[in-house]
Amino acid sequence: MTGSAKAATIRDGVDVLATQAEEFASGLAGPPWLTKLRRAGVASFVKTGFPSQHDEEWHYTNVLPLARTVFGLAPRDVTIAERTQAVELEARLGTLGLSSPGPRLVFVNGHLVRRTAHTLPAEILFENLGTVLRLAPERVEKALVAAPSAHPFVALNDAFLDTGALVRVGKGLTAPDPLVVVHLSTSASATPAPLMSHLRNLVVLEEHAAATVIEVFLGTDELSLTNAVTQAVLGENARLTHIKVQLEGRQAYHVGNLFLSHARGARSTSHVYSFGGATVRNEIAATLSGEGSGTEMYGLFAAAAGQSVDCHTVIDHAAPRADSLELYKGILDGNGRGAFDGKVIVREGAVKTDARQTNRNLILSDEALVDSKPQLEIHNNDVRCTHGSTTGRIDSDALFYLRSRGLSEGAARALLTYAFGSEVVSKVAAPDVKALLEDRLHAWLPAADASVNG
Amino acid sequence: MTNVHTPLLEIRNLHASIEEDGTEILRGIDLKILPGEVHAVMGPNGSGKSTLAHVLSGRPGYRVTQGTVSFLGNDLLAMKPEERAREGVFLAFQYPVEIPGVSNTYFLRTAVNAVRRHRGLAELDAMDFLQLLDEKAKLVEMEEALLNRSVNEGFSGGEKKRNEVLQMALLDPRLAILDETDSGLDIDALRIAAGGVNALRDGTRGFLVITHYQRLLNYIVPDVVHVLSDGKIVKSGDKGLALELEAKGYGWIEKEAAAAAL
Repeated sequence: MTGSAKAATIRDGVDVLATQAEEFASGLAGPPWLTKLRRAGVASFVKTGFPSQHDEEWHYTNVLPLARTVFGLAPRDVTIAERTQAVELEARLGTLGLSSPGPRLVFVNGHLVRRTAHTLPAEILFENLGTVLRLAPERVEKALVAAPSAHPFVALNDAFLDTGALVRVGKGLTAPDPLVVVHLSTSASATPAPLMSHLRNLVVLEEHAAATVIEVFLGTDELSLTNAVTQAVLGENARLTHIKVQLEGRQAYHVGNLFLSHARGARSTSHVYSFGGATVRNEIAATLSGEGSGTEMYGLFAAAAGQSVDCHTVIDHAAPRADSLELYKGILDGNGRGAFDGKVIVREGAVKTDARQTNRNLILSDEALVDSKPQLEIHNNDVRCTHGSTTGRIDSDALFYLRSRGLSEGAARALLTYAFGSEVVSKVAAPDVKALLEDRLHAWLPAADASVNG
Repeated sequence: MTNVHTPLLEIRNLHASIEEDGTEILRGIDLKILPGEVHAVMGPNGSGKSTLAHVLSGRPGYRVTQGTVSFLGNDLLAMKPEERAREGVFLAFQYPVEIPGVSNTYFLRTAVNAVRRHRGLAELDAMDFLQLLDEKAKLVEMEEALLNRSVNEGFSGGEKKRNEVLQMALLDPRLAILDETDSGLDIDALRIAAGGVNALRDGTRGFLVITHYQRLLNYIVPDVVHVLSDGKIVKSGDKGLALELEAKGYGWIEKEAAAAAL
């Protein structure tokens, strides 16, 4: 690949990005609130800069190489080469089983290139956020300005806010099919620098509305940065299933932030499956501010040689009688690194909280490493909270049991690793996504070449 | 290569220690099983019964320091556990392992096909396998629900042992080693498990039945009974020996062995 420009210092890296963001924003028209939002993002990012590993929240994520790489934005005019690569990448999804003919938006390097024809009721909007920002920005103003964040990558995302998917489901309606958003990173842009994309997805479910949103990230093996933010706002008694499948290429940086807010009785289920990328950070912040609301969070992350995957979740119980259930599992191989940092906060007034959190990690090699940091922060007594964390190797008794029945050691290890991950995959309801994930899990396995039957 | 006179299993002067601390458990075992024979190995706790089963099946954690084991004329000790299984050695575990996330049926088919491939037989597809499974499951009165659950997960003691016998029936071994299959079983579960084993007695398959109690041998009647004490076979006889042990305990055998050693 072509060499990429390096910033001399991290501070230079911050300045380069700030300049890029200002230039980017100055080229865009829009209402004053939007300009203000972008500018505030730049200012916030310049103020905080890139997080360092001295910062407790970023202890396990090394952003130094990312901070020193100069990334460029793909031009708005998508090239033929980009489209061709996008078609090839997207075809992989079909091969992997995700072939649902339902509504789909496909972005390449941050720009919408394709949408499947679909007929959704007028009260169900599934659109390019960028188009809405140009034609009817007032429709998304409230949600976008509501949540300023001190998170440096979210601030950066504000600064470059211009593209992503918008889902809006009207009162009492259920989106009939999963709404699929595909983000592709390709190297075929006209820009010589490695590419970055700052995607903003906005999901608004009005009261008693329901939807399943699937975000898939795929990419070629070149250096790239994906900085994705998804904001989901759940009205009273709304139901959201959000599935994120991260399958980017070998040199990809990926930072993802999902914000979930819940009104009374609203329920969300989040799935994060992270198999690809070089340095990956998946963050979720769920606020249970409505009484009787709830969230379930399932995560499966796999880090092989050269990969680092961090999962950070915060579940904030801010109202009475809310419940949360969290199950995250990590599989670490080669010199792979992983971290689970899960915080459950129970506020003073959040009585009758029911919170359960589990993290289990499987280590497949001597060089692999995982940090598990479950945290409970409870400010009242009338709660039921449990958490548990285990990290271990393949069970030697189970391994021998399988070998004593004729399975090779490699096949036995692969089967046990698959079994470890399949507990999480089994929670996915969408059959084609489940098939895709099972396939990915098989393909990821160290002894996959020998096949499970080998 | 083999005929009725070739022993299925021939153990000569087998010594084995625990790898971790070097403690010698087996101290010179000699044992020969011919095709079709059922041998019982009895002995008090700590005599080395389960170690013998583990060493024969290739369980990691033991070191063979002396002696040989040949299986149908081949060096058994040189084989990996999976190779032993594919060649036709089957161990029914005393404590079958629970494997959450792997369906029993999937596991059984994977095992059957690994063994079939080794024997040059065509792999069974899902339909053919289910037919075979259905037939064998009847042998041990295994309910369908248990076949769809994860391997041994949440199974009762009796269900786990029946699952072991089911695996034995499916894998069609030349030699089956039963490691305290009777432990923790009530009389009904014991009867069912033993019934499954007896159905597999065909005049050519060999059995090595390891047990602490004579009770199991009322159901699986042995041709030869061996008494293991302190890592050695100190007495062998017919099924009458088991009854004698049941009546008199192991003490007299150990005394006899000690006297002989003087």
